[in-house]
Amino acid sequence: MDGIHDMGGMDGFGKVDPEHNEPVFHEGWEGRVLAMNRAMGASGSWNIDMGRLRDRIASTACLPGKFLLQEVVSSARADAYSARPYRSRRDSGWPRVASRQDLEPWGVNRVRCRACVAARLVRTASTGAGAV
Amino acid sequence: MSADDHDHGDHHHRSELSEMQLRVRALETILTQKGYVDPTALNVIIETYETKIGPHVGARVVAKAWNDLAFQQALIQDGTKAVSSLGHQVGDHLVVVANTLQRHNMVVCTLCSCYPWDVLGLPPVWYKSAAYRSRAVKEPRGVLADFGVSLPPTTEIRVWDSTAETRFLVLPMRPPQTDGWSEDKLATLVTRDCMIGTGLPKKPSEVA
Repeated sequence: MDGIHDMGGMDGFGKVDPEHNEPVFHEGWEGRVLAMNRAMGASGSWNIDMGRLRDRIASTACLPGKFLLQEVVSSARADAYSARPYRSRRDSGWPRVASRQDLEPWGVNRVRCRACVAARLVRTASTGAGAV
Repeated sequence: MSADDHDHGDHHHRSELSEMQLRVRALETILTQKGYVDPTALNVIIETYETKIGPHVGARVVAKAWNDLAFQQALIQDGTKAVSSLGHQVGDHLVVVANTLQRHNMVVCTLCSCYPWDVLGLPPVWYKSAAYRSRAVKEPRGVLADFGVSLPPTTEIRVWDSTAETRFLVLPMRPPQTDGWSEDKLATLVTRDCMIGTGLPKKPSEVA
């Protein structure tokens, strides 16, 4: 295992450079992208495997930057830009918009987990493999 | 303002937006118009991570463990259950690893960026960096030196590699000269980095 997804023990990346007093978000757009990522996970429109695909293709320093790539490429182009009318998706009950109860403090974190768990279930069902 | 709001008198203002800001606005507008996201819901999510879920949650857990040995034992035995008992929901399997004079624990995710979000909030940029992920398991003392931390050579360093299901929280050693301190006061000594294992708790003199 020596791919980009398993970096343990690899050489050549230099020293760790911690940022003193790092803010939660460096710029406002980072928070918007993280929130979109969570909301898309809640709607069932995104799962973590889409993100991992992005990781193989592009790497950026900040997580929200990765999320942006995930959303733009995986969700927006693949689905939001599709010719399939929103109304038909809405009426089918999936995907849905994140509801208020998703947004209580711990619900927000559950949204993240839901995206991860959904990905694992899909993987297990399709390949019979175990955990991520 | 959505990306397709077009105010002819506002060109100067809009030209100051960076490419990334424009892209994010455009994305949010599309997702909103398609009915995937609600902008007010996004505000709630942002506020949650800015104020409600962060290292202060983990600091409370650590401070309680320092003051309550029964809780400390329960925490080490089943981190998920013990943290949940404080009213914090934990979505992943949380394993708490306690530092001792003989052993220092450090957490990494060599695969990606798995992190105990429920108790520490968003991971810092360095946690996801190639430098940290690659070196933490191979040269932990060197990584600690990058953080200005030096441990006695007799102290074993154990590095825990996170997974999608299992997240780790380091329980640092209680600093000396804190006898009789309340949990609230103890929590002021607990830094995010000391709960990842790349730092040590503050000294009492630093918060006095």
